[in-house]
Formats: sequence, C-alpha cells, structure tokens
Amino acid sequence: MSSDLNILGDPQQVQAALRTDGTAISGAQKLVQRALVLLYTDVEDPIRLGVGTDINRGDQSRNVYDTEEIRTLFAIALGKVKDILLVTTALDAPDDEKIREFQTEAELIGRGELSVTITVQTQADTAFVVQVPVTTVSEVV
Amino acid sequence: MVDTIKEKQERIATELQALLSETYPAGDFAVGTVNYDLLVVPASLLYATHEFKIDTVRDNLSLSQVLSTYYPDPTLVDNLLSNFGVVRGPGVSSVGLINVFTSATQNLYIPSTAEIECNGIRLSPTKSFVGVPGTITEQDTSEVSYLQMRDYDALTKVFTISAATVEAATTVLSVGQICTSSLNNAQITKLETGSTFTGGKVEETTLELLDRARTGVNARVVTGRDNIRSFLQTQTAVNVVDSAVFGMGDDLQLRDAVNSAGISAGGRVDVYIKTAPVPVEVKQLFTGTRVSGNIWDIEIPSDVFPGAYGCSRVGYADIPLDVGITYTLGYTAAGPWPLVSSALHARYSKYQTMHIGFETTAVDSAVSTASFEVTVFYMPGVETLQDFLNGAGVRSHAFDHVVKAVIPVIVDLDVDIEYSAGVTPPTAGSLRQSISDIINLKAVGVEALFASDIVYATRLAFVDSTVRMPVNLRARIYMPDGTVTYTSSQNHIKAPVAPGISFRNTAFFCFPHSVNVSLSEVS
Repeated sequence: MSSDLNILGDPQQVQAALRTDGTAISGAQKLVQRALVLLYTDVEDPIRLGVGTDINRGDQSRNVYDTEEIRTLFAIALGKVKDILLVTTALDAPDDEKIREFQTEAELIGRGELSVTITVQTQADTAFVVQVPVTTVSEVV
Repeated sequence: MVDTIKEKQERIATELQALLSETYPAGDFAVGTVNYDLLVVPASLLYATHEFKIDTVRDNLSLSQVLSTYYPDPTLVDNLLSNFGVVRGPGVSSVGLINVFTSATQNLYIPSTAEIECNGIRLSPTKSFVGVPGTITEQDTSEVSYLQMRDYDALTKVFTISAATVEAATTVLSVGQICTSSLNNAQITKLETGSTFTGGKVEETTLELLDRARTGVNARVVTGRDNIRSFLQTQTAVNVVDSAVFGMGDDLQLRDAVNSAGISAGGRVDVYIKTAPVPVEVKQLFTGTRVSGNIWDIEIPSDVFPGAYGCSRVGYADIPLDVGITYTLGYTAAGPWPLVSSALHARYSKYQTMHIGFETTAVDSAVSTASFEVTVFYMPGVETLQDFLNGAGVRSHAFDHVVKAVIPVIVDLDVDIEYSAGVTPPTAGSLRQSISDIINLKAVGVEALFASDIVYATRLAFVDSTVRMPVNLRARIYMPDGTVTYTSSQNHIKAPVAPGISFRNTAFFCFPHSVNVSLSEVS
C-alpha cells in the first residue's frame, strides 16, 4: 500500500479527514482526495499537463441553472475524473484505492445554494460520501 | 526542432514520477495525488524552464547554431554579434517639409512639441519655428529658426518648416497632403506636406540582423559584393534600403575597359544604392540664364543634389510651365580614383554635373536672368556613401568604387476595382498608399513589374474586391544618357537594355498620387 499527503483537513470533510497515521492517508480517503483534486483542477491549467475537468467553468452559454443541470455537470466532470483515475492508478494498488463508480445527487438547501452529494464506490465495494457545497449560483430554481 | 517548454515539462514530470516512485515505494505519485501536485508539477515546471533557457543560450552562443535557430533571442544575438563588430541597424525617422499657410499678421510660433498628423502618421517639428511676416534676415540655430513668410495669395502667407515622423517608419508621404495639428490656432489656415517624407526605416529585426551576419562577419574594409552590400547597410549615416554591385567583367561596369587596348583592368566597382522607398522631390528656386531666343539654361548644383535624376516640373511665377526638358550632363574628373572620364561614367553619382534646358515664352523677352521653381528629383545619400567608401580606413587600394543612385523606373497606373453591393470599400487614398507601398518595397534588380503585382496589392488592401482587367501601367525611366524614356503596357513593365542600364541596376518606384483608382459597386 502506498500513501499520499492528507490535505482535506476541512471539518466539513469529516470522513476524508479521518486519518489514521498523522499526515499521510491511504485507502478510500486517498481515492476521494485524488478525485476531488482532479475534479477541481481546471482542464486548461497550463502547468498541470491537461488533466482536470471544466466543472469550474460550468456551461458557458448561460449562468442560470436548475438543480438537475448542476447535478448533470458534476456527473459529466466526474466521468472524466474516473477515466483519469483508471489510467493513472497502479495495477497493484489495493482495491479500495481503485474507482468503481461515482454517483451524484443534488439538493436545494437555500436560495442560490446547493448541496451536491458525491458517493465514491471503490472496487473493494466500499463507499465514501462527500458533500460538496455549490453556492453563488444565481437563480437556482 | 527544439522541444517547447510544455513538451519538456511533460518529459521531466514522467522522469521525476518514476524516480520518486522508485526512491520512495511507500509514496503514491500518480496524477492527481497531492504528492504529484505539490512536488512533481512545480519541480518539472522549474526544470523545464531552466532547460529551455539553457537550450536558448546554447543555440545563441554559437555563430553557426544561431544562424539556423528558429527562436533567436534578441539580447543574446546582439551580444554574440557584437564580438564580430556586427551591430543592429537602428530605426530612423522619415523627414520632410511641411508648408504652413497662415493669415497671421504677427509672428507665428510653431513649438517643437507640436503634434502634426498626416494620413494617420504622427509627425513633430525638428525644432521650434517662428514665421515672421515683416522682412527679416532668416536665422537658424539648433533650437529655433526664424523664417520669412512668403505671400501665397492676397490673404494668406506661407512658410516651410521641417518635421520628422515620431516613430521610426518607412512610410512615404507625398507632396501636397493635408495635415492636422494640435496647435489649435485659428490663424493657421492649412498645413500640407511640402516634400516627400522619406529616408526612415524601422529597427532591424533579429532575423534580418542574422541574415546580414552571414555576410557581414568579415574584415572592416570592403571586399566582395555581399560584403559591400552588408557594409553599406551597417553604417548609420544613410539608410541603405538595398544596393547592387557591379564589378569587373560585367556589362553594366562601363569604367572597366577604358584604356587604349580596351582591356579590363579590374578593380572598378559601381555600387547602385536605394536609400529611400521613393526618390525625394524638392521644389527650389533656381536662377535661369537666357541662352538665345526663348531658350533658358539652369544649372542643378551637384553639391546640393549629388547624382540627381532630373527635374519633374519647372514653374515660373508659381505657374507650372508645360515644357520639354533637355538634360546636358557632364562630369567632374575625380583624380586618380575613382576613375571617372565621361558623363556616362559619372551619371547618378556625386561626380555628375547637370544643366537643364527648355524653351518658354512666359518670361519677358527683355529679361536675361529669371527665377524658376524647379522640382528636382534625387536619391539622398549618394555623396555621403561615396565619401564613406573613399574614407582612408575603409577604402581598399585594390578597388575604385563609384556610388550611384539606383536607376529609377517611375510607375504610374490605372486600376479599376469592383466590389459587391453591401461591402464597404476602403478609401481610394488608402488603396493608393497600399499599391504604391507594394511597388516601393521591391528590391533593386527585380526583373519586371507585372499587372498581377497590382492585383495582389489591391487584394491585400481590400479583400472583397475584384480587379477589372486590364491594368494600365506606364513608366518613365531616367536613362544613363540623360534622356527620359517612356513606356507603357497592360501586362508588365521592364527596364530597357541600353549601355549602362538593365533590370539589374534599376528599381521600381511609385508615388501614391500616381495611382489612379476607380472604385465601382457591382450588383
């Protein structure tokens, strides 16, 4: 098993921050952390070699979304993250560091504020749930 | 082809990833991990930048490498070539004259900070000028000039100031173009250009500099043809746009076999120079002498207009005369070198002397001398470059150079341009400028000017246009023997072949006002 640094110390990311060994993480937490790093890396970031998604850009043709559209944007972006993870994870990595599937749900929690729930399923059939707030989206219905 | 920074970074990132995974098997350095983002990405970026800079330095520090590199670094190229005495040609402003028309009855001040604009080109006076209406002795210092206003008509007076383009530029302005200014003075009724603005050039680019270095890295005295051309372009006193060199054994080298046996002695070199996009036209007052009857003679002084081509217009009392001009050419024997022993040898060089003769009844028959306004037509810098090559430190004793102005083929043309309904055409003025620019950009020794060149220039300036054939091309050529030859064609214009002239020592010139554009909308 190989480990990575833990950077998700945010209290809201309680599950991801449940580290066992101080500053390094492994297993499903590591998978979640990688997935989130890739999810929020811009696809045209000039120094990150083209890996990343366009979730930060949204659908550039407009700036008004409804809840289902936001969920779809996340689902599309996570599809790309899954592709990247599948080709960049070592073959001998433990199963709980390999991605099986992402599932997304979105819920309106206030005016212009959404909670997107991402469920990360590993190939060891464990699941890990991350809640991502999406705010300042104008006029979410 | 060298790798780009991006390619280098990708390669280095892969290498670092492999190295780190091997050194620390417990660490995960896959894409998207924090280890990867915090270690591999910044390090690979830094190393790639360094590697790219090292490559640039390595390429630019070798003379043979830098001559074939794709991305020469301007600073490094300057540093490298300075070791060989090759320096970048600086940019030069174009200069010319501006006529100020005024209704002022008191002194009119034109400060050196005034901004004048003509055809979108910014100009500024070369110093402060003061136009004085009352009679004065004109004064000229480096800071300010006091100039006598002349009467233009009953209400308006005129005086002429000199001005230069603010930016280094090769753009040509012709005579009589209207200017605007920041002076905001109601007494200035009109500003217009009083001479061709020319003589400027933009700073030499790095690739041009390298191109010159191929032949310019050499001894500091003149030797071969490429060396002479490169050498003339290096000196900064005169802006040499292009030049052509003719030496021993060449048909165009007329001074080569002038001994009694008719044998070529070698060492004689004629250098034809183009120092401005178009020749300079200057209107000046000259005193003419009545020779006999109504025939007048005027000497064009060779110290003021060395190597002049001729005169394009003669006027008397501000009225242009419709007269045929006869040129009488002579020469000043120059001593042991350069060897100049006929008017043909001296033509277009500083050793030429020129008289013009014409017949007119406009002057009172009782008068034996009169002032005529003569528009002289010449290429600047001929004398300066001749003196430069004659310089003791430059001249090789094996050579005998005569610097001559390139033989001009002055083109004027008619072009009919059609465009579809709904398209907004550019102004005729800007089309004239573009077409004349394309002709004036041609180097010395272009074999012919084709109608297709005009079509190309038109399409460049106005994409949505069609040129209706034929294009009428007309040209006048100031021949070495002092005659002026006229030619016209609807296909191409080519320099005639005669003693001392072929296409190899001629250049095409075109003034914007000689381009007749007719724009028509077709449905």
